[in-house]
Amino acid sequence: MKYYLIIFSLFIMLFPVWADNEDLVSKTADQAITAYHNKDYDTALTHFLYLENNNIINADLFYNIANCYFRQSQIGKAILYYKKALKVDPAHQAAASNLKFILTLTKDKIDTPENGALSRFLLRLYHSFDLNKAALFTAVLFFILIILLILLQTVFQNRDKSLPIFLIFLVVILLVISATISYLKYQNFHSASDAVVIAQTAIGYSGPGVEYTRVFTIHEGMICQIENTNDDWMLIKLPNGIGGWVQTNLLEIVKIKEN
Amino acid sequence: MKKIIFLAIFILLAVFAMADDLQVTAYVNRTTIGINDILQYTIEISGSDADKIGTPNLPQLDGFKNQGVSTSSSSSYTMTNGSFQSSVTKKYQYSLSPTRTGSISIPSITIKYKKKSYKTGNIKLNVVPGSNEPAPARASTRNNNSPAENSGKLSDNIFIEIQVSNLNPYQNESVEVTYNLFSKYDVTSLSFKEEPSFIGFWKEDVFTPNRMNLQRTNRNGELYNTMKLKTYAIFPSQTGEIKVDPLKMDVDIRTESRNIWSFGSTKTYTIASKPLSFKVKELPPGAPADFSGAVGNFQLNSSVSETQLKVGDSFTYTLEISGRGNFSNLNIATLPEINHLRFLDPETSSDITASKVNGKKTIRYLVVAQEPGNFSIPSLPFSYFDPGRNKYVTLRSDKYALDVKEGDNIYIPGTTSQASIHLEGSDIGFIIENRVMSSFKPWFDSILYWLLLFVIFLSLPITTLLMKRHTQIAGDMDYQRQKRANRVLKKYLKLATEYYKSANPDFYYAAQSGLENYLTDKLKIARGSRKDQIISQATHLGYSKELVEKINLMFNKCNEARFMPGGFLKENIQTDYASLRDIVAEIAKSRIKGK
Repeated sequence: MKYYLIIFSLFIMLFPVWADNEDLVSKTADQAITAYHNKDYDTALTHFLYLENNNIINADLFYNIANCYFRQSQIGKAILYYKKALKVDPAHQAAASNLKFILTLTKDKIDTPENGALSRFLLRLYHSFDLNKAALFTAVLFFILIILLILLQTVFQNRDKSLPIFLIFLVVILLVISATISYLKYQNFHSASDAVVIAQTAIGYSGPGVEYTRVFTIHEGMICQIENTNDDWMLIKLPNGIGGWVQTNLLEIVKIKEN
Repeated sequence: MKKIIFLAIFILLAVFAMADDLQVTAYVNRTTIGINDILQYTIEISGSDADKIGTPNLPQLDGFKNQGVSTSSSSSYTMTNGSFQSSVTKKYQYSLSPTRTGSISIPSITIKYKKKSYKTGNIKLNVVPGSNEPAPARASTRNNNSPAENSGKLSDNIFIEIQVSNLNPYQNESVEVTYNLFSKYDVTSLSFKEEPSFIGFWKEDVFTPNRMNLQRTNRNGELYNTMKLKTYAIFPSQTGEIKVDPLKMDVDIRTESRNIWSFGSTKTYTIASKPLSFKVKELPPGAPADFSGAVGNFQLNSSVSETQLKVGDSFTYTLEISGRGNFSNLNIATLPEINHLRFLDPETSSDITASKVNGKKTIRYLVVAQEPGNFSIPSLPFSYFDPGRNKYVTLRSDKYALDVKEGDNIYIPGTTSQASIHLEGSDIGFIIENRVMSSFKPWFDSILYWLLLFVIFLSLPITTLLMKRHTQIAGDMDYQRQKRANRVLKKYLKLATEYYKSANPDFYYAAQSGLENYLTDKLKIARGSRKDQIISQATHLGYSKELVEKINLMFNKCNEARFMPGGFLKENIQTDYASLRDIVAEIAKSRIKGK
């Protein structure tokens, strides 16, 4: 009886304690949505950002923040938050289509590589579920595997084992794939490798300092990869492969805040 | 004896050879030659060692150019008074062409051999202008009646004539120069020796013969074999007097046989044209601003492929200059920048005839309309100087009006490739009215997830352990019996206790059955074994002697009480119960072997 109690208390402890704040959250969200309806995007943004600062990680929230920024013509910030929303939930349809639309408004044309039909299908499949669904799937497969192993020892102890062994083989393969996908998604969730230009223009230099040669000029909304960071400078790589050092304050990293 | 003779001859030969002197002489074929002729200068070396001397090196000769050397040698052997003499004569024949007229001398040449010097004589020559080559006898006798037949000079019978279209051209005006060969001889082969360099001109080769092709023509009543040697189109690039060097040809002529004993032979002559002198006039002043040096006579045509367009459509704009003149350095004014019309780099093609003077130059632009509206391509000027009319002419291309309408294609400025963007919608989607906003937390970050997985995993070893135990139990009957033994003993002991309390004689039955069953199970012997077997097995398996004795006593007492008449005594039951308990306690404590 004692053990049950310990497990139960552990269970309670593991969940973020939001029970008290639930009211506050829904109240703030309601205020923000009302403000947005009234086209008071400033107020809406303040409320939404308050929620974000209170460690709420939610794709819908990031999506709404992005919409507020877009209404204020801050394309860079909008792109950043759409990317954040997609990071939390890669299957967020609204965020994906809004991002696609807003990217056509950036000054720099960003070419996305054309993929073949198969890789497009696989990519869509990969983005069609979030990290926790992958984790759940992995756990279920693991559970099935254990059950099968137990059955192999008990029910099939003195019988023909070819069927359970085949099933085990199948489940192991699926488990490896599922675990790999989960790991990749987990890595992506915690990664901070992408950045978005939030300033009007950013100049890329050949080294960390304005005294170096100018390499390129990019504009607000450009998505680039972070290769290296210095105190005030960041080495970024553009989609076309060109690299350059850009001042850190001109960019913002697509990153989910850890609480 | 024979050996000695051979040796003597050998020595003699050697002595002769040592004693033999070289004779070196030099001579020429003529002492008076024309500037266009070739002098044959021969050095002859004779003597037995003449073979051993290499080709003499001719020093740099003043007034002559060395054209090459040919070598011939002859040997003779004579026997004089029974002794053997050999003599070799080597001839080195140099072909020298004079470079200036007047008196020229060929200095003496020294040849050194075996520390001895041999000198040739000094030769004095007189070089006259033109050709002093004596006319060889003609192989052809068909021209016998011609008046010039009697001319003894080569230059009257074979010469190069020049045709020039204009000796007094304007700068950049095209001039055609043609060289023709006229010959009364049977020419067997021809080769260019020196071509004029045309310094001060832009030169284009118009015609060069690829094989010898002589044709008979009548020139001033005389019959000649003629051939066009070369045609150039030249464009003077500087003004003033410009001299052009003569064209020189090497001609092989077949000569007539002089008598029936000698065949006709072939002789090589060098013939040259007259030099040319041009007086190039400067272009008159007053050239239009766009004049870029075109001289000749030109026409200008222009065209566009379409005037009604949609945004994103392309059309071609063509400029064409045709006529006669200096096409190679012809420039057309470049188009001015027209907003919203993108002119791609033009494609220029020239279609110029073999004369390099007549032709057509085409400039084709591909133009892309970028915005809707009305645009015009302006008229472009093209100026040239017409030497025939002696004035500058300015031509103008046509003006074109273009009507560009809104099209389906969107032109994206600033990119080289025209990409059309498919818009997802005209605006972003609306916000999502989610008021719950539960926070996303990756399960991988929660301990619960891993705990769950661990619990799932743990069920595997637990099951394995359980299964192992199960099979162990199922496979071990003795273990089952031992386990059962305690249960049986408990049951009988309980029964015995009840009988004891009621002082029932069945107490002994219960005690005996209990003990017997317990011990047979415990000691792994068959049920219903006799008392002796149980006792001996108990002893064997290591129960203590006292215990075995007690068990034995207990069994005896039970037997007595149950089967002997009057064996059951109520007063004994108390002690027997106590001793039974004692036995059971002791058995529980005892360990048996092999377990």
